[in-house]
Amino acid sequence: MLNTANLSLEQAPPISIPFRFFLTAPLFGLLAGLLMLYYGPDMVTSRWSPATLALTHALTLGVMSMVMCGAMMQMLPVLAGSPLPRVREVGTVLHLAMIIGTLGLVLGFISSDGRWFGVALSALAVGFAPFFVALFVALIRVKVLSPTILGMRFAGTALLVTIGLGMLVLMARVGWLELGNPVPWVDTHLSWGLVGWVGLLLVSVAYQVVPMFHVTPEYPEWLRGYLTKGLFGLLIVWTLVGAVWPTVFYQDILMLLSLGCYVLFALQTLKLFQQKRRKVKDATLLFWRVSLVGIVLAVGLWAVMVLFSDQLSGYLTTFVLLIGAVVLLAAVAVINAMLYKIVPFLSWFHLQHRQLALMSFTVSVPHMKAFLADKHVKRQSYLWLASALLLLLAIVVDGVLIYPGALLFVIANLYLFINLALIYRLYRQVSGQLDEAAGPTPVAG
Amino acid sequence: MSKITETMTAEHRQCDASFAQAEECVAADDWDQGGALYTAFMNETEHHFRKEEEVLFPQFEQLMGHAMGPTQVMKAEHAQMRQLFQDMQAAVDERDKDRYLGLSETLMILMQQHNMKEEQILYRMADQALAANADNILQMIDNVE
Repeated sequence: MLNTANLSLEQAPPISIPFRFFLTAPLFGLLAGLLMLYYGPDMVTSRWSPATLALTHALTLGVMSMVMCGAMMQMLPVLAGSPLPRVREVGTVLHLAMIIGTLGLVLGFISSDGRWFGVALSALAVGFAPFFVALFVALIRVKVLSPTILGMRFAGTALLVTIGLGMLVLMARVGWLELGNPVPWVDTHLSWGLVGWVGLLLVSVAYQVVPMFHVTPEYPEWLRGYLTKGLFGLLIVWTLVGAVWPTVFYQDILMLLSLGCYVLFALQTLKLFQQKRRKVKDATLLFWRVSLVGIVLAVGLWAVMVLFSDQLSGYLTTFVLLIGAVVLLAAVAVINAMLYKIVPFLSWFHLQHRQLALMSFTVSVPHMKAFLADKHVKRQSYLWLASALLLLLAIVVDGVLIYPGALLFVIANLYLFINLALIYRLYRQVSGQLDEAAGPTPVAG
Repeated sequence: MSKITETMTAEHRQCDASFAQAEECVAADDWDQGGALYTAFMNETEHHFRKEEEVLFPQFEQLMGHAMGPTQVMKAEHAQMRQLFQDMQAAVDERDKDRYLGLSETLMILMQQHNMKEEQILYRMADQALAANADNILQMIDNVE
């Protein structure tokens, strides 16, 4: 018997839910840029410096996770016919919690005032608890399991582990519990966050959006079938080995295997872009290519660092900072590229859907490039790229380069915000015209 | 078991190829060939829609016992694409390149996400549910003018 009870292909949340996440993210990018401007070269001295920790969390929680959580709420009903239950309430609370949580973390790190961490902890707990319940209900309800949904289950679990470990470390820091040496806890938190949550979601979503946005061939069956399973499995084994039998050598081997999976993914994706059937120029491809090359570069640097750690002892801090920066920038670049497709498309889609339902063809619905012209995408991507390059040079060559890099980073994020905000404004305008064309809503009774 | 998925997916790929050719010509300001390729793409896609709307969806709905749910959403998206076809034809007639490329970008994403839903959900469900009758249905699909 066919069961379609959960298979309505059109249960997308109201547009305001994903959009509030997408429009908030560039503002945290802006905040990250301002932090770099304020702290300057101090930012690139150690991964443990309070300013660097504040910056990292502005980017990972405020930018990446902000967009990724919003996108999951949007994608689950569309891709799998499985919406998050009570998505409006869950999304509203999560969005506020992520804003307060990220600000609390940033302020906590730079002020060393434990009360801010208390604020962050409470906000994140209140926001993420209902989100995880709703997310896993939606993920478990999915009837036809695709590699993307499987990857999302792994990524969601990795996010849960990341947030859980982060909260433990924070609680230890404010003295609510005793963990002993925090370094292995932080490293596990970081690995589950980047190699798990960010990487796994990126890969799973790429399976869908790379062929969809760029009309490339599909990823090979074997890759879609095994990559996220392999990565998730390796991450678990890596964690268990670290917990039970902490041997740097075995952990490094396992991590190298996981990172090798990402190199495979990056090379395969670059190959797909070479084979794309759609030949017209696409302004967002630059972000993708840079990011994929960045991933390969970061893994290469990591391998060199681990293999030659004795010879490189004087440069280890530089290596660590450089790898971290490349990974963060690569993830932010892909997210930036996806926003430029998703936000105009969703705006168009919601408007034209309503236009057809109302049969009001006097109102003209703008197409995607009328929402956002290519030239703005190009300009913003060049600014962003220049800033990324300067920031990396600040780590390798001279810390003072962080100033121009950070300034450009601020401008690029402001530009992204303006681009997205203008799309939303046009959406609201046309939506208002459709309301008018439809006439007054009949009053019940 | 997967005959419907295979046949209909192959048609999607064929439409993608025609779409990309037309877009490439328009981007290069070759309106004569671009216009002709656009018409060919539109006819191919319309033909594919009719196969779904006249044969596959009704079969699926019969099994379902109603015409709500997935097929209704697919038909609504066909309507959205047909609206874009009209606008793109207007852009071809006026030789308005920016408009054509803006519309084709929009159509492309709509079309790809629509195809994914059909290929990953609807066709697979159709293959499972209609397996006993698949050859017959494919014959009927083949007969759609």
